[in-house]
Amino acid sequence: MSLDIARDDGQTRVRFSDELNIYTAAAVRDALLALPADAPPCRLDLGDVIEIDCAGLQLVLAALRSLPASTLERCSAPVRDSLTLCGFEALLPAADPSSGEQ
Amino acid sequence: MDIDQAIPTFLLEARELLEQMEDGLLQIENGEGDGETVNAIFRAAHTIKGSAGIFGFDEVVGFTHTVENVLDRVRGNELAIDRPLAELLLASGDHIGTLLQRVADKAHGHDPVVNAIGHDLLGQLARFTTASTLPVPVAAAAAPAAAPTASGSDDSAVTGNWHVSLRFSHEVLQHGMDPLSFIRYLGSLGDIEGIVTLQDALPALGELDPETCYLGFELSLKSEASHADIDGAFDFVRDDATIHILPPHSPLRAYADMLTALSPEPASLGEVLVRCGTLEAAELERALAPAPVATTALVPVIADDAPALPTLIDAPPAAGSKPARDSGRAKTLRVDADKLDQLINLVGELVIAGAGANMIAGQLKARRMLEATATMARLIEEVRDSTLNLRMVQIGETFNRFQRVVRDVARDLGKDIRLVINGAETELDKTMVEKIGDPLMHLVRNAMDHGIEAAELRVARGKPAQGTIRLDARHDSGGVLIEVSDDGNGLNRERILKKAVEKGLVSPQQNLADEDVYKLIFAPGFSTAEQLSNISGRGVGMDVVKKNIEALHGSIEIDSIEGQGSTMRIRLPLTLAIIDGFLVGVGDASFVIPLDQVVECIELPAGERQSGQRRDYLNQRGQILPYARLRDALDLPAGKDGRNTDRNLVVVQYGGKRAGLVVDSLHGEIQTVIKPLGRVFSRVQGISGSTILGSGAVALILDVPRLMQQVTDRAAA
Amino acid sequence: MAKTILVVDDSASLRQVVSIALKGAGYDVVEACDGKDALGKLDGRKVHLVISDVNMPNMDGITFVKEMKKLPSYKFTPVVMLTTENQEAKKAEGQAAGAKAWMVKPFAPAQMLNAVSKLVLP
Repeated sequence: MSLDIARDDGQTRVRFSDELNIYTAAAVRDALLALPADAPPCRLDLGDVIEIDCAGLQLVLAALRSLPASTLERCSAPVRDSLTLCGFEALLPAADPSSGEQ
Repeated sequence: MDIDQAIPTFLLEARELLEQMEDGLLQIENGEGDGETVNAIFRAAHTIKGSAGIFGFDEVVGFTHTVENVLDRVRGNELAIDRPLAELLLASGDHIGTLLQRVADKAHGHDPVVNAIGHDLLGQLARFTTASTLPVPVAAAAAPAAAPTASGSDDSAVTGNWHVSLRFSHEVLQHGMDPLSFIRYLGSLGDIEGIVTLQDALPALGELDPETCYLGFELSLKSEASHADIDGAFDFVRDDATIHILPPHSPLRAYADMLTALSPEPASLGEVLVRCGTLEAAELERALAPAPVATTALVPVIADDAPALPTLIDAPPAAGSKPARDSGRAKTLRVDADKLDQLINLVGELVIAGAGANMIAGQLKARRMLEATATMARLIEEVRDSTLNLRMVQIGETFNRFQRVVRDVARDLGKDIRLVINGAETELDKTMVEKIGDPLMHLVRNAMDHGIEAAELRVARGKPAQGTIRLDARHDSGGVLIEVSDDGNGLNRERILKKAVEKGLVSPQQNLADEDVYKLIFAPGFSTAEQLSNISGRGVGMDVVKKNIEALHGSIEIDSIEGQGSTMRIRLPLTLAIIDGFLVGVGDASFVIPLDQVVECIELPAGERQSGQRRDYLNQRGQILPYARLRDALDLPAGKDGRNTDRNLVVVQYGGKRAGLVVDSLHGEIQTVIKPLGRVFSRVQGISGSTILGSGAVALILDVPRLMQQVTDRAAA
Repeated sequence: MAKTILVVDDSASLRQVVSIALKGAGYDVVEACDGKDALGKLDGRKVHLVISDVNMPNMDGITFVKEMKKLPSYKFTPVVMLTTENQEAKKAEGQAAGAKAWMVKPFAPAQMLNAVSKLVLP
């Protein structure tokens, strides 16, 4: 799992890649918590996630609730599939031309 | 899915298990088995049934199932294995073997004979099973499907979908279970038309334990699947989840009960059911309205039959109470025999290379180099011994096969015979163990057929009515000694002699010692039985037995006392691969004598050295020692200078006898790797193999037993 | 990306059948003949599910699961244990070790695939 945090345009972009599951959830959570409290609005980029499980899903849900004004930016096919499965179609980025198809 | 390619593997495995079963049953029949033996028999039957079930070999499964039922009762101490039951179980094992053979032969349709036997056995087995037989295990215990109540009743929901409500334990993720995978599986049973993921329990990021599950799910499933199928989705997570499954058109009351059970605020959870499409708002309202009369719950639909989360009573984990045999098993490792052979070959090469290095160091007179090679030689020796040890197996497995043979043959002959085994733990080379089976089989059958008398005669002779055959094995002077003995007739000297004279093997005038008379039975075509029975008269004579044993560099001799019994004594080397040898020279040629057969080396007394003076024996410390010149015994040309030194006499022993071999020079001990002889040498008497010396020269390995035969024969002549 | 399943059983025929069935359904299969062998196969590769027998030489299934749960990269990997006996005591021992899913032999290959798909779809 790697987490890439960048700031531009008055936004924080957090890019997840590889697996987002029970094995990586703790590291991801800690990285997200390390974001400064005054960080600008957060965009979670899940376009490069190749695997997500329940632990990953609830982490994303918690992040969306806890980080200021955060939204999902890109979703890979596995993420899209899991979000849809659990009835979170509304969270999917509306127009997502750049969605990372694996 | 082509699982047929796995059938050969299955057959091999099943046959091994059948053998184990048979061994165990015979042990029990002889009063030697214990609880573990019974367990092993049961496991064998169980595993055969299990694998056969996977392949769909119903005949095997069906029959083995009944056998297993009986064995399960034995295991539970409800039933003891007595002789008749052991007999029946052995016959059942044979029948399983027949059924396996039918699988192997790809036999289709019904074989009336096989069916009749199977039917008969099942009938007999049925007497040992009770009404409460072991159920045929299935993967999932199917819960009885709750019948949906008639739709359209005022009390029932309109929805034609199943409602599934899931709450998971906090630990479910740590247990390796992903709730999403169960929901995905439900999706494969139908369409999930509405789902709401409950995140009320989900804490803020800072408080979130990433390995704890916080989510719950309510979903509406459109599916033709049965209650059992849907419930089966959660087979693996039963202890880690609270699951409610409501069939289509369930009574509103059932939804209300579920909501109350799951939440202190049924109404707000009810909203979720509305959101996922299970209930209409009006239905929810009616469901949660205080029940006007108790009779509304007309049909008690037991929908959620799995409130399993905390209620399952688990036996306390029996950690640390592992059966002791596991620790024994953990010490063994199965290795492909070919790999072992290759290793032994390599070690053989290493021994030769080491000897070469040692020799060169000697020639160079490099002291430090010599020390180094000496250390290496010692290590190589250890490696060699350990490697050879790997091939050593206990002879017990071979011996045990005879329990069944003795039992069956005794029955065929109408004799009462028991087999007593000693030294089953004696180890020898795997190849030897494999090859000694047939000769032993012949000797055992022979002893039962010709050795053991009929019961009346035995009693008349004052012997116990039950005859005894013994199989003994033990290590003896660097080799293995196997004895097959019986307490029967013993060999009849007169009858053997008469026959031998008839066959022209000996002349009537010859005065032979008992031992030599007995040896006559190993002559080709010799048979003393007046009537060939189908037991031992199989066209294989004792001559073949002897030949097979000699092919293993072994020997056989007979002890017999008429009226009291006979003993066949087989001597075998421990291994065929590598020996410690003693290197001697005759002229330019080098020979190796197996070291364990060398007693001592003495100087040939001057008086014996003249080639004209050949008495062929000498007096050694009051004992007659027959001897021969190796040069003569092997027909070697005379030495270059026409003069034979003939200084040294090597005293060798084999099978309790001694003889001397005269050689020119002694070169000391050497490790040798036996290479099989090429075709050219295979007929040379007195040579058993060849080896390559460190110098690259070839040395021949002497076949001491054969040479001694020549020496003593000549001395006697 | 195909999911990888580690199949651990000392019965070669069972391994072969299970592996043929799983591969046919689109899983990748890694085979091991006992617990020790299986631990050796857990060399960093991604394993989505383990199917393991209980009674095996060298290292039995329950010890194997205990050992596997000590490995950081595999401690949450789901395990399906195969029982040949309906032994509740063994099952309790196995569950304490972390094997939560059980399947009773004999099973038809289709049955096994169905059970596996509850945990991991190909």
